[in-house]
Amino acid sequence: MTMLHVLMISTALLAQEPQLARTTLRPPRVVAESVSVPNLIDSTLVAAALALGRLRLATGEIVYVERAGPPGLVVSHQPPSGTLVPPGTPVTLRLSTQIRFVRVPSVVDSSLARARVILREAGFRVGRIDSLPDPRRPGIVVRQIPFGNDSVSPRVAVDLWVARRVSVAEADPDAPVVIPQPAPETVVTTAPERTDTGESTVVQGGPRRWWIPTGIVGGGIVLLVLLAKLGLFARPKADGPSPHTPPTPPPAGPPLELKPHRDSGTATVDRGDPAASDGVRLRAVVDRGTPTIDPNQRITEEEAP
Amino acid sequence: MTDTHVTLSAVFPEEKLEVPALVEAAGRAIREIPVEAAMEASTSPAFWLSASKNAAGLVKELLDVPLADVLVEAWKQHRRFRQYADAERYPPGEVSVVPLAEHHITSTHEPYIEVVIGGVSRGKIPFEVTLDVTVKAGNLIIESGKIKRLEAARAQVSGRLACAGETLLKHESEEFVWDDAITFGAGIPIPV
Repeated sequence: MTMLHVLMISTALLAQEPQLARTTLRPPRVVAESVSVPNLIDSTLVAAALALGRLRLATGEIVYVERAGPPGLVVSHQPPSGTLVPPGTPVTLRLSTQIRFVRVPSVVDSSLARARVILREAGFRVGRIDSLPDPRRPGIVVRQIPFGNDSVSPRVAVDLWVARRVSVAEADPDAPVVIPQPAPETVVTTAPERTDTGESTVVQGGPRRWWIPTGIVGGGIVLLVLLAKLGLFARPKADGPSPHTPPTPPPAGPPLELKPHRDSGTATVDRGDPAASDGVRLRAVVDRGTPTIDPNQRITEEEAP
Repeated sequence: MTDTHVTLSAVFPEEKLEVPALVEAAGRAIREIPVEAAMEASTSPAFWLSASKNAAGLVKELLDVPLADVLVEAWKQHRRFRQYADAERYPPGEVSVVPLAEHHITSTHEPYIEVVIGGVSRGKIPFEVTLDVTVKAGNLIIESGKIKRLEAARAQVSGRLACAGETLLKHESEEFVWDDAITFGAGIPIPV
């Protein structure tokens, strides 16, 4: 490099100096501070609260959910992980708690009065009472749902079917229709207090909320019964007005989106909850059958009898 | 009753189903779903209410089998019709009209409602349908070794519908009368 080159570079640097001096560095303007919610799944309550505190987030409502897995762990939280929220935002934690199932005593073959006592002493409520024709044992409980020895939540109401005498119309289909008068036992005496069919909410000391599913199996069975009672399977009856009380509206729940697919013989039930979008699907599988015909049978007029 | 699209639903009318028996049988089947799997679905009562309603609605889907399809499946097996598969004896372009005598066809079907939780099949609500069809009359149209149509047919069906071993309905239908022809698409091939 010659002296001339050194001189040219020095001149150029000196010429740029005033421009550099005019540049001012401004601190970045804070528009809004936000914090990303951490993943708290499988954390204990203490660990989750500490993690939230470190990020200047608040521990919100704590909801206990019966789960088959280990108790005391966060199973889900709201807002979910990765959500940007302002500091101080409360995060609702859902913690697992052990399933507590109780065996239902069998009251089949007991009188209705005795069945009531047995169920009450076992901590169960009597739900709806209906009747079934059985002339041999009128007044005796012939069916119960949940079944005897089923393991269900103690909050479940037990529906009972009591045998009744067969009316003339039932005994002889050709006989004139007789409006059956229900026996005193068959009248629904207990209005269904179904705040807890499968799920219940009991506030315990302040904001802590206990959300206890009463067991899907028992709840499902009871709901099937409830469903039948609500008239979803109902058929028009020619035997006079029902002795039952008017149907209660179904319990409020999360938004439901029913997607029947008649063409494929399937129906998908989606709760609208993204976390459980796979949900439960009921699929009707049709069987075209195995028809059989006696090969020695005469089936055409052309054959000799 | 005249209906060219008679299915098994017509044999087992919904309004005749024994509801408490259906509830109990379905409940028994639901009980076999593992508790862990059910809990996995985090279901709520409103959800099960909806699911149950759909399960009941699906019973009709299970019975969506045309009665004529059941009959033709039986006929094609019968030795009497095997001769029509012989192309030399019954060459293409020749139509055979076979008058049917009164006869019986029995059939057993085992449809089910599959309960899928989290994409995995976790249980079934099994059903069983048994039929005894009395075909009283009709003409079978056979062409090119295929059963093409059933015309002017009359039949009566007695059947049993069960769920999880519990009989929901035993019923004898009224007589079905098909005044119009029932066409079996391109024809049901008769096995040689």
